[in-house]
Amino acid sequence: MKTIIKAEGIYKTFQDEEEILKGVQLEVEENTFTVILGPSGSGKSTLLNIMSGMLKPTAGRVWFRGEEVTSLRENDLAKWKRNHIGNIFQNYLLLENLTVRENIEIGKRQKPTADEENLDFDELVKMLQIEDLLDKFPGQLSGGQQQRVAIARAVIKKPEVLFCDEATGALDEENSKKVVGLLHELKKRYGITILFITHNHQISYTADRVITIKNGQISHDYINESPIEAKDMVWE
Amino acid sequence: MKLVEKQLFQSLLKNKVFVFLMFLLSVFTSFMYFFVRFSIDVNYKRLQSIAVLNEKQQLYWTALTSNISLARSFLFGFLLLTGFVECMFYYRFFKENKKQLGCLKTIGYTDSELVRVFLKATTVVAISGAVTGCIAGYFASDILINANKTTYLIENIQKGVSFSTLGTGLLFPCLVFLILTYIMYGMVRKKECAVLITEASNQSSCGSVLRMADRLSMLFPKKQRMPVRLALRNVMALILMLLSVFTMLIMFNLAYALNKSSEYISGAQMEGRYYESELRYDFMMQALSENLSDGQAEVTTYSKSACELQFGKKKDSMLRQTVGAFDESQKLFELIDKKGKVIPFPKEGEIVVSEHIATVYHMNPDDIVKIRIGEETEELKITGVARNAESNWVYMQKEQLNQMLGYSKEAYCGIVSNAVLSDEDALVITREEREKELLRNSVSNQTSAVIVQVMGCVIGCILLLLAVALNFNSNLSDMRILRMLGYKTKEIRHLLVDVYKPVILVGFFLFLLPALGVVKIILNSLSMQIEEYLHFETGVGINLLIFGIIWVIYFAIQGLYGREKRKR
Repeated sequence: MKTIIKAEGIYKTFQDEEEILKGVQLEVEENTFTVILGPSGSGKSTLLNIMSGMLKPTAGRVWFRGEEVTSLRENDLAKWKRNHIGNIFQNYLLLENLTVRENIEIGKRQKPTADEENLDFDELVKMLQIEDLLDKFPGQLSGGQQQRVAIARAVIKKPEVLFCDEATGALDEENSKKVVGLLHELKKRYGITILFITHNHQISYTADRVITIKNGQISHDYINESPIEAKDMVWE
Repeated sequence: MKLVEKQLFQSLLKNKVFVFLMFLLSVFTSFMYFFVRFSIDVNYKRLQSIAVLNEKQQLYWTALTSNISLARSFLFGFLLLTGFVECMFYYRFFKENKKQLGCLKTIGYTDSELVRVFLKATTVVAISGAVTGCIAGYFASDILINANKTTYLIENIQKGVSFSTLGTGLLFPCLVFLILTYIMYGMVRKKECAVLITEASNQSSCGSVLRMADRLSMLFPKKQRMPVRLALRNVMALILMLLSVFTMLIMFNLAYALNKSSEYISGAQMEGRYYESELRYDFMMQALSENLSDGQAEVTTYSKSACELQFGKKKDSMLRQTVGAFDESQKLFELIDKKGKVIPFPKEGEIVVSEHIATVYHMNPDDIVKIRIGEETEELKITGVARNAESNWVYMQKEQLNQMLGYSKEAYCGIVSNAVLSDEDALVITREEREKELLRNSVSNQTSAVIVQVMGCVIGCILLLLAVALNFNSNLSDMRILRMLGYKTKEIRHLLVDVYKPVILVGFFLFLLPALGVVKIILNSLSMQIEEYLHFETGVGINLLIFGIIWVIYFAIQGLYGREKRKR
């Protein structure tokens, strides 16, 4: 399988703080579900933010399909984020003044072409079971519903890579399983590569590959030969 | 982009009070400019086209010239104020909405796309405010026009503005506000999405403020420390409160001074004048006409001439004045000093200056000045400062003046008498006419005083409202939590709402003297521009009144705002 995104020699130090990332090397293959595990403060969110262009590394480079992302100018970086990647956050980050429909539509590609087009809106909302919520505002939704809307916003553009930062962190067991299951289905149906940050080991059992970060470095990296279904996860 | 605009516009409009007050300030900025300019432009142009102006037109011309700089001062001053409030608004908005903006940047919207939305919002508020202010200024300028008609007795004073004035008043403020918006967006520009989104960054860099607030609060009694500490942490509201107190102190004291100045000058201008009529000649006369009086009336002659007064160390400190000279032995006109004492008429080598130029240009008795009349220059020592001097007049010995003018010591160009005289060759001004003219001038000052008072009140109200609104908005969730914890309304008020009472109290006493200093500077500056004396006066009464007004406005706004919030 081809490498879709590569992180090379990533270092990150914040102002007056210790080095958060210490020379991380990582290659992710396309159409895979990769879980990055690690305790709080290990640097996993920082790594995800750097790989998704939300943060610049102190040193090192990120490549996307052979093109260096870390040296892109603001407009080109925005274009890349707009058209090729999606982000899902623990606290959803929906836009409060827009309806569910509008929140999803705001995530669409700027200028879709025949090769790079948006997903079918109706099909997507049906899959995520949010078709009855389209005229509601985020403040009127439950946590699980909000996260499904956030997923819809992130994937409507049919991104090539989806970055999920503790996407189930604020959800209960049932909703967490639903979300993880949906992500797997998206990967299967649309070929989206997924990078999922979590501290929950159960989710890692569903992944194709599991990477563990500790003290700013990758401590373990293995392929999961027998991933389980999301609905079979056993909550701790 | 439409969805982004919808999201951001609605977020902006959540701060309804702030947005409305920004609009009001924008209206006010434009209004104060156009209010003056509508009474100037057409008339200024008309006077410019007249080759030789008569005396009334000359006075009116001077007034128009000074009003042009007054209008610019208003525009500049209010632009500063409105600009400051706008910066505060956006500072708060961008601080509170970093996550939202970070999210939009994560989706892939660029800084230039996002800043365009804010620039659009600012344009809407600025242009609508400017146009509203222009229209209001058009109608309100009738007040100034009528005051000018009364003061200068000129009939066909018209209303209108030039295109450049329209551009300055409408577009210039808008441009300034747009630039400020762009600058304030710098809080978000080029910031990485992750930094905007994470909570920690939203609360950074307030450690020093907190420490300072904690230290200052220790100066207060124990019961007041917690509320004071909370008050001091909300720096924006604090600045607004203090600014509001400072502004009202300045505006009300300025209005008081303007009002009192016209009384003072009218009174002073009649002091020491024991004559019933004055005759002014356009040329120097050699001897008194025998037919002028019946021999019963007391008559005194005087000379006068335009001159230049050079003073101070800088060679370019030159002042255009009129120098007058009366016979020393006469009793119809006395020069009176600030304390009400008679100043002996100057002898050779001496000069008495007016209180106006002494105050504005810091001249004192025993200072040496140079007087230049034509090619002749003399050094004179200031022997007195007269509060009843004619406007822009100085006084020297008649013999010395006539010598400088190349005339005999008996030559004169004016006569004063304790009887009403007449002469076809002279302009006759009776005592009654003089009093009427002084009264007309004082109307103009009183009108200005009222305008300044109203402005002070409005600005003070706006700033106080902003401060109260800020305080409430930032404490709403705290209020709810305290209520859930069982705190009573009175306790919540003491802790979170009434925290600015000591601030207002301290601010009043802290800023009283500086405000009076600023008023003096403004009056001096205005005096220089309009070449008329504006006397500075203040009193315990007016400052007590200001104190009372500030508290009334504060409690009224707090009461209304609190009631509005409790309804929701």
